[in-house]
Amino acid sequence: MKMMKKITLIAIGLLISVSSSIAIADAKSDAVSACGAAENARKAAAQAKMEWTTTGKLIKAANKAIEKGQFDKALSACNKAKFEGETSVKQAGIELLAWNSRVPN
Amino acid sequence: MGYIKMIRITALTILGLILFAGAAVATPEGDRKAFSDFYTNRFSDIPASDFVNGVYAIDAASRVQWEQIEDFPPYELDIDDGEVLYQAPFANGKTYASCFGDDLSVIRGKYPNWDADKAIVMTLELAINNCREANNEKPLKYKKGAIAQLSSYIAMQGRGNSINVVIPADSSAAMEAYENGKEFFYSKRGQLNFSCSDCHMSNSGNKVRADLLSPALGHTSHFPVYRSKWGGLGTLHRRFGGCNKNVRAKPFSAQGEEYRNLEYFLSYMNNGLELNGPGARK
Repeated sequence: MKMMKKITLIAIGLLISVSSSIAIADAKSDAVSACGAAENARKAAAQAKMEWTTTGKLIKAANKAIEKGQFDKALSACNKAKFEGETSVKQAGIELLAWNSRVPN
Repeated sequence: MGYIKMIRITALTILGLILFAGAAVATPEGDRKAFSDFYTNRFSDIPASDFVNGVYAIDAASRVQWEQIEDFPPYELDIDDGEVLYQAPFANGKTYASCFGDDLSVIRGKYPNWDADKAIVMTLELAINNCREANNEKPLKYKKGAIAQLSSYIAMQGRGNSINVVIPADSSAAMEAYENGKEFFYSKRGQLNFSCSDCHMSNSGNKVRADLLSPALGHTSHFPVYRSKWGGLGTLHRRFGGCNKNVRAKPFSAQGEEYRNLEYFLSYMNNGLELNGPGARK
């Protein structure tokens, strides 16, 4: 009976340990993937000559957070950075047409 | 990238249609007149010639303080240092005069210009470094320090001359550089979504926090400037970078193509105004 109890406890412990490792790996993978997408968006903004000063800083901070194992923080920062990069590219597209409307005549 | 390309094609098509329809086509001279008229209408009590004094042209209270500062200009020692640097021979025995000629008073007024051989806008600071490199000297950094001192010495000798930037009529590349500078000036950028013109045209004379926004007319006449905020002398491209950072747009390299084209456009807008650099600003 005692033996059965021990085996059950060990099995539960192993299960918890494996599932939490999987969760951590998933969180890290999500963060790394989000930061890759954010970096691509930043590069597109730079290519359109419309990069914001804030985007690179967010990605840099997120990469540091990944090193520290703070994956939720990294994911959030990189999602924001991706949004900024994409918005910068849209801004560049809008301005290609809009700038001329501000020229006095 | 695809999105930008599509928008660019659409923009060019629309512009092409406008041109095809025979709408009035802007010329640099037409642009300059409209630019100047904007400020002289907005600040109708200010003589056009006074815009070279920047924000002090439109703010009587701070002008008094500025005039007192100019009695003992904070850039005076930099001009002296600039003279020493300018006259000192390179290792090969030649001096800057071998590149710029003997008449110091005309150098400032020659820049920016269109360098047909290199097919780029040539600025004074770039020409200084080109001169150094042609004489086997290391180039200087572009934002402050020795290059600003050299530029301030040259600017001082050219005070009183008129700005007369030329866009060669036979050069489509020069026209393109001018148009790129113009587009830069009027394009919103950065997280705060401001264009140069938003602050220094539409809102010139209004306050941003505690500071009055200066009119863009006359902006290029007085550089390099000694800024109290910097605690030293800086070049026009240093200021461009600072403005971009203020709106949270990543600045471009000093003396890179973007800022040289912007300088070309803005300087052309100031044609006819007096060169009065170096200057002192807050």
